[in-house]
Amino acid sequence: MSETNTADTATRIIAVRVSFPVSEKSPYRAEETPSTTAGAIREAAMKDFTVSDSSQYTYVLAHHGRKVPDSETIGQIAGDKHSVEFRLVKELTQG
Amino acid sequence: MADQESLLNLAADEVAVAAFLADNGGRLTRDGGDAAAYRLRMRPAGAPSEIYYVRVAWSAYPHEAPSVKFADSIGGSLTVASAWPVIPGYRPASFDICKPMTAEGYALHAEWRTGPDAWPTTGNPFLWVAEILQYDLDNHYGGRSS
Repeated sequence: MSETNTADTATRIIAVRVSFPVSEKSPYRAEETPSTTAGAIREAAMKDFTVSDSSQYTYVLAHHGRKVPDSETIGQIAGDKHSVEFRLVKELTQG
Repeated sequence: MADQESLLNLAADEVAVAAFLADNGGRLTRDGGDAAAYRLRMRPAGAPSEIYYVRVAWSAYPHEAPSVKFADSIGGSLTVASAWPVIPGYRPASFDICKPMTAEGYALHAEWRTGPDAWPTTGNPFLWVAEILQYDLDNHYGGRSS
């Protein structure tokens, strides 16, 4: 049983979608293994949307409204689901 | 009053905003007689019994940032401090949000009008504003202002 689960984890692919409403591009899409971190997804999505952090703001991934730490893995976030959706949010500092 | 082009652009983009708010337990309604103004019923994920009413009023969509203020009810007063949540950058005493996403913020900080803080005019800026408001309520909420 545990060998089967290990094999499932090793070969499992999770579909990832990141939306960013003020981009002219379509949402960022990728297929990742469960061990891929949210930070890696965030960086890839930012590159795709051609945006970058600055001293005044950062871009973060939100999942069902919650800010997702870079260290979390896609597998942790997806649970037993085969896909996970994020929103890329520009976390603005106040004036 | 917003021009006809703005109203057409808003009509196209408000659908996604209404869906987003519904997914988060909120609701989008028009604000009385101004066709370019909306009331967003929103609530923080961590305090779902606390309901907030946000008035988002556009002058030229998507070209200009909207006025964003909290009201004490649908169609209610925009000058009630307790209608506002405690969130960094949200100023209940001034009835404004001092961030590069509102007309009030850009009026206070002319330096935001160009460069990386400039108002985004591509895609769906109405949804962008709604997402930031919801994100702030979900992640930076410090209770209701008094």
